[in-house]
Amino acid sequence: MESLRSLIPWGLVLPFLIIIFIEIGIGRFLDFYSERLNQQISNLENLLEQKEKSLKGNLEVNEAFRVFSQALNIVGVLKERRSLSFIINKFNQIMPKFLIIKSFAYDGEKQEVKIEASVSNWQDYLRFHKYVTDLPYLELKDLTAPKLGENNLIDFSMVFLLKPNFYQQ
Amino acid sequence: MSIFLKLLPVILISIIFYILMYSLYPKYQNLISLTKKLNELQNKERELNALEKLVQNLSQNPNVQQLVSNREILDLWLPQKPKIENILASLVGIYQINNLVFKGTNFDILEEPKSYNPDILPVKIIRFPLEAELDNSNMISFIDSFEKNVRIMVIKKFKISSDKKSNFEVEAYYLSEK
Repeated sequence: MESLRSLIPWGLVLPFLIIIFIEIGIGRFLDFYSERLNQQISNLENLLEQKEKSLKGNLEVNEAFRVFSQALNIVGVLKERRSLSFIINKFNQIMPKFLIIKSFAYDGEKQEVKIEASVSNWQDYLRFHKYVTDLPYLELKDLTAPKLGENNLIDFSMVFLLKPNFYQQ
Repeated sequence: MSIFLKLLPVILISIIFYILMYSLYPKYQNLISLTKKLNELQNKERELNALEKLVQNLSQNPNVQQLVSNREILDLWLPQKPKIENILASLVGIYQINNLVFKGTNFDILEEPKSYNPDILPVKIIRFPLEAELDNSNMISFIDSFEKNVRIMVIKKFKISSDKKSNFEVEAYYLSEK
């Protein structure tokens, strides 16, 4: 044993051993700190759960809060609402007179307008196509291939995306 | 023995790295995630305190008190209960004013409430389809009747064809309980 002790190069081994002990110490400290954090978290979770429950219960019966919610929701709905009569009127103003609209569909969620329409000749169709693609407040999202119908009119359908500046007066 | 002594530094370095990688690093990661969770909970606590304070202030705020005293008007626009009968009465009135016949509709209350503001109670949506025979003379007036109706209604979808048949999908709202 004595000879083993004398054989070990302590000058070389000792720094390594110190590092290992420091690591073990840090590990212990991290364990202790994590345990404390866990304790804190579980206390806070319980507290928040109770607080949330009592607050939720209070809010649901609190008349002032309910009325305040009603008022804010009314503002929210009205702010988000787009006037359909405004959209129809503006669309009518924008569309050229030679366009015959056979059906008009509006989708408020997608902010889209779909029209099934006709024009009297191919020149008018090309003119119309160029016109709508140049408009700053509409985006041509989809279109069906135009066809010469039985009544000698060019029939087609188009889907327009209403850009935000469409709603400007 | 001399081989062991020669390998001793290598063994010690390996132990150091082993402790570092398989003990300290996971513990450190765990500590970081716990700290994050604690911060989140503390933020939540702050939000709850703010909400509590807001509710206290609301109850004392004179403007809100005025709203509470005028709650009948708010109830007409966006009631606290579905009040389907009010919507039905509005629809019958709108059709009559525009010389149209109301043939009835199905009211569908959507499960998912809609939130316009995360700090207040959300609204529930009542969705219903409508049909009407409209032309250029009465179309805008019919649509205006919905948009100016006292119970707030929003036309979400609309289609009109050259055969005068038009279809609507309309939404009305009421305050959600939760």
